[in-house]
Amino acid sequence: MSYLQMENIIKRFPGVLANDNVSVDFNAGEIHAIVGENGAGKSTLMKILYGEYQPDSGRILMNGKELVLRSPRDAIKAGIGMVHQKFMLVASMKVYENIILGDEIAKRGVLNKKQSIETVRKISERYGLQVDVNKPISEISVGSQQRVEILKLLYRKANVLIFDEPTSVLTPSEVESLFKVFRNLKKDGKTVIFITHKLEEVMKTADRISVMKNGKLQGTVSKEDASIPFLTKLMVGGEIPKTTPRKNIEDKKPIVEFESVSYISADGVRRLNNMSFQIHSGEIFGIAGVEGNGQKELIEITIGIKRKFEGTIKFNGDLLNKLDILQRRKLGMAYISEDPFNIGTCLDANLIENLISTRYRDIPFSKGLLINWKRCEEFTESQIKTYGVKAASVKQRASTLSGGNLQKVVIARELSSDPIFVLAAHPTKGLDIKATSFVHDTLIRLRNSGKAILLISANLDELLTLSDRIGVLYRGKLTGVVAPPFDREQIGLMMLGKDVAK
Amino acid sequence: MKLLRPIIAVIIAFGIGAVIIWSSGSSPLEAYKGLFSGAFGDWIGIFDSLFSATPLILTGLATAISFKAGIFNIGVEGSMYLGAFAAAWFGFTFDNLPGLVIIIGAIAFSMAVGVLWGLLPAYLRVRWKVDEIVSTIMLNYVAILFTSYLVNFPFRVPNVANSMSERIAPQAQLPRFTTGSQLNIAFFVAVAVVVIFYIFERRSTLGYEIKMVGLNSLFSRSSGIRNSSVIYKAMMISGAIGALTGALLVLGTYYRFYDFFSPGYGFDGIAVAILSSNNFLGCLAVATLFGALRSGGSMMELFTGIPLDLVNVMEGVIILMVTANLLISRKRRAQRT
Repeated sequence: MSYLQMENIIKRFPGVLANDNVSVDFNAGEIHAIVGENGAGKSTLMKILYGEYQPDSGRILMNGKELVLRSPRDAIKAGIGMVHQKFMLVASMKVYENIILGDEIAKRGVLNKKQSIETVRKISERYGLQVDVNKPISEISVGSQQRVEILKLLYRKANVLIFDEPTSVLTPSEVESLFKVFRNLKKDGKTVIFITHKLEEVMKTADRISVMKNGKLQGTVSKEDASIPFLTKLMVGGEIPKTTPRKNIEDKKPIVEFESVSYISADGVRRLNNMSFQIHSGEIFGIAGVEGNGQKELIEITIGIKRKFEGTIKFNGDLLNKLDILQRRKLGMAYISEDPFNIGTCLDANLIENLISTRYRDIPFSKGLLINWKRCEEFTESQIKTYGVKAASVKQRASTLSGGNLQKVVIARELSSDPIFVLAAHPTKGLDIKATSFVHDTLIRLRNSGKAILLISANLDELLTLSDRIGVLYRGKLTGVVAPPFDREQIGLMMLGKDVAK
Repeated sequence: MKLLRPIIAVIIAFGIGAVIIWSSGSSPLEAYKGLFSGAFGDWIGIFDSLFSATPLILTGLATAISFKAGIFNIGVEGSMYLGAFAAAWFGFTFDNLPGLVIIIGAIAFSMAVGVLWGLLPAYLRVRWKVDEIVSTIMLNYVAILFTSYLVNFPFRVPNVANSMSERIAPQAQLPRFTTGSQLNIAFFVAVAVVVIFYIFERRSTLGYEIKMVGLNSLFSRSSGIRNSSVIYKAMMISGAIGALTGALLVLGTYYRFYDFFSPGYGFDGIAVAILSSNNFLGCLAVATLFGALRSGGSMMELFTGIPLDLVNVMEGVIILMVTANLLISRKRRAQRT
């Protein structure tokens, strides 16, 4: 008999059946991956197990006895804990204070600091969770913050640890050490459950894998019986369309030219340091690097959000430095943003309003001061068809669309102006397999049609498959620009600041 | 659904009002009878209700347009004072011109003053990131006290007890409809502004820009909309309509500028804008309701002895209910995600 069972779980939200009669079981001492596309119902299922949601029907059993989880408090009492995608830590408080918060070791109301720190330290040594317990949260890395979250659960004696997409915020080396922690937990007889849609990770670490699709459990398989193509098929329910092959582009000319661009932020830190590179027509120029090494500033300077920097940027020979976003867009720039929810679209506006935001000034969308909404509507309808946005009506709010569909809305808008240059900033962040392959295909098509593309991504695999050349960013500096055939290890080292460019 | 909430709020407000009246030993039925017959009982009652609604319609619009752009502008009261004085000055200075010319000139001058006044907090916000809530509250004092200075010193009228300006030229007084009510052309100007705003919002590029900047300024900025220019424009319009409110009160009601003439029309505009969720037609409806309550309330006071303050209590309850509702639904939405 397995340690923890979820039986016939049904959960309905207005308009969606999030969990459709799901039964799954978890063993003590196993690493169990839950995979599925966005909206497959993974998070809902785990939130039910953590007591955040109550199922409409179905039950949860631990050691064969029924568990009633009315709140996360009940779940923690039963030894079930969860690390959310968004960490729940007090930034100004120290690491150990965060860990013991709400469950302090105290004597007559006085906190026993020494013993608290000692307890935390013991747990962290046992599982290989290195953190400096005396540092405030705001001063430690994202990877360390995640370790603090895990420590919080172990401090509360959790036996089941649920992780919601734990690797999405980590650098490759942090991912490795997280998986080491997983294995230590497993050795100690704990149950590790993690949600992901990265199948490489699953094949590397999980003992068993449960696949969800449209709220239903497609099946649970052990790793020995699984393969990436097999899991993909279960998740997507069909083959993934192959991306367009890349064409050989003759006659490349430089479109965007960065010349010794440096940027110093308001707090005096040099975020970009003497960057020089060119992006040519018919080329995808990738920027690799661990997040936080100047990507954000590079994006903002390229599109024109920040305009106070040293050096020059030229576009088709024209100097860009003084031009604002509107002027740059008029010259032929487009911007696929890193955040379709907050930057790429306006969730409270309808699809028409979202699609015309870069073009409403132009004929035929407006004449002088008045907008011709009928034209805008026709335009939106045709764009939505072209890009396969799933929407019942162009008058529905963007907030009703999924992340993948929103990114399609962004792409439909940005490419409608027939740009010369596209800035693609983390364009597949948070998207599922199908949506990601759509974005990849779109970028390659653009490249084949002679556009220049700057692709900034935290996903090295994405950069390796799409880029014609890759520039590696480290502490605001280009440690080198490499051309195919790409050497993954070499790029990895360059991301850590080692100058190994050949 | 959107309409349901304010209606329920009004019903509850009347319920609470009834409890208050009853506990003070009067008959709620009698009181409300007085209120309703005062507000709608005859033509004069209806005229008076619309007359009371007029400044609220305009200050509601002036506030709603800035709220729509995401600017929490509390400064309509100040622009109204400056606009009122500007119109009065024009009206008593060029008193030998034909009436229509004075009226148009006074309104245009007043609105120009309002535009400039609206630019000030917009500039502080865009250029120096000064919170507009703070700046507009402070600028209200500047405007109100500055007009007070003007009528007490440079434009002081000798041998008059109260601080007030000279009367505007008689030919510039806005015509009234009957002798029994103060209702005048100003009401129709206000309704016309509602219609213009409504069309402006749906059809104009600026209306679209204001909406987008207010809903998501990161989105609008990265789309190439110049957020600061949109903020300037929205605040200029807000200042102009705030000033227009003052001008119409001077030309149609007071015929001169009185020191501290406003019972808080500018602040009432905030309530009107919030209750109508910045919907311009909604502003007209809410302002008319408030106008009816106020004009009916004075009738009630006259006939039943229940003080007009009861109406203020009821307005307060309505505002509380609707804003609390907004908070609750926002919290629920946050929990769902």
